[in-house]
Amino acid sequence: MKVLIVEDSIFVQKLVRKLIMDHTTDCEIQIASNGEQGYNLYQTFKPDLIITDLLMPGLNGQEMLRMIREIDRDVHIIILSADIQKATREEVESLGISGFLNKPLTVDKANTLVELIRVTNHAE
Amino acid sequence: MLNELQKDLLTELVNVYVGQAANMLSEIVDRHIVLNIPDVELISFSDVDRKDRRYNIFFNEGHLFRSSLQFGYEFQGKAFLMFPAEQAKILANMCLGELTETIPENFRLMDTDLDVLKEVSNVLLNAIIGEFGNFLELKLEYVLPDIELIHGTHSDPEILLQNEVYVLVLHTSFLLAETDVKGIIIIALSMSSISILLDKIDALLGAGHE
Repeated sequence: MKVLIVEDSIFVQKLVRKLIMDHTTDCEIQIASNGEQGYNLYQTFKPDLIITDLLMPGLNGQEMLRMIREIDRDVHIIILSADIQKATREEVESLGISGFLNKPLTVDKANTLVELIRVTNHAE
Repeated sequence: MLNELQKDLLTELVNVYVGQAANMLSEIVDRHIVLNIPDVELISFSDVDRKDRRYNIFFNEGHLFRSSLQFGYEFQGKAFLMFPAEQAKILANMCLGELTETIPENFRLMDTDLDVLKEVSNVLLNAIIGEFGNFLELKLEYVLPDIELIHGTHSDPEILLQNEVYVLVLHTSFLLAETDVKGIIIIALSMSSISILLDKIDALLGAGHE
């Protein structure tokens, strides 16, 4: 499975990368620090799954998600964001996502993320 | 600025929001956190009494770590989270799983520390501001959080502290088990945003009396 992590915090990038590496096999990971990098990598890397933050410098995660959904309804996208607003969640859910997790990434949420990744992997 | 009932309800709301933020911080550092909110005030910054010990973090000498999150548009303002630099370092260490509760005098906040502190601040401020958005049933748009190391004596004129700007001051004290990491949260609001907030509070208070 190919996973693209789009996240501006190096700390969270490492955390998510380690989580995936510890719980999945045969996984190729690439990392982008903002939406623009994420969109460019999406086009060249062709990931099966994108795990993305929302609030990032430059192009934000929601705009990146919108751009991707204009050309691709299939790629799985999981949101990992500190934004706890119901309105935000409803907006990104309407664009089609596989999951929405609020930061911080606790043990319970990490387990949920791993489970979402497994479900995505089996859906391929 | 606030009558007794408005202040009571606002304090209650903020207690819940900051409690949720504290719970998130507790999950990040894996320690019990006691969070006190002695007071919530809506004031004009020109009214701040510099002799008031509660505002020491603004005016004392020394370096501060300051994180800010700007939000808009219908409900507009900027939220700040500030820690003395030394305590920010302790917090960063704890987030990184380092158990050091004291740090050397000549410590430095490294890029790794700042990255961690930015993320932690982002989570905490989002938890509070996001709930205001939910409460007001408004979608808040955020500008990317900003972090700075500032000198205490230079902090006051920079913190949106012009006259006519009202600030919602939450005096918080994060107490991380056996480590006294203290910070302050300030939310600066535009006049129109204060009106929106007070209208909603008054509506709730009115409903409570029906």
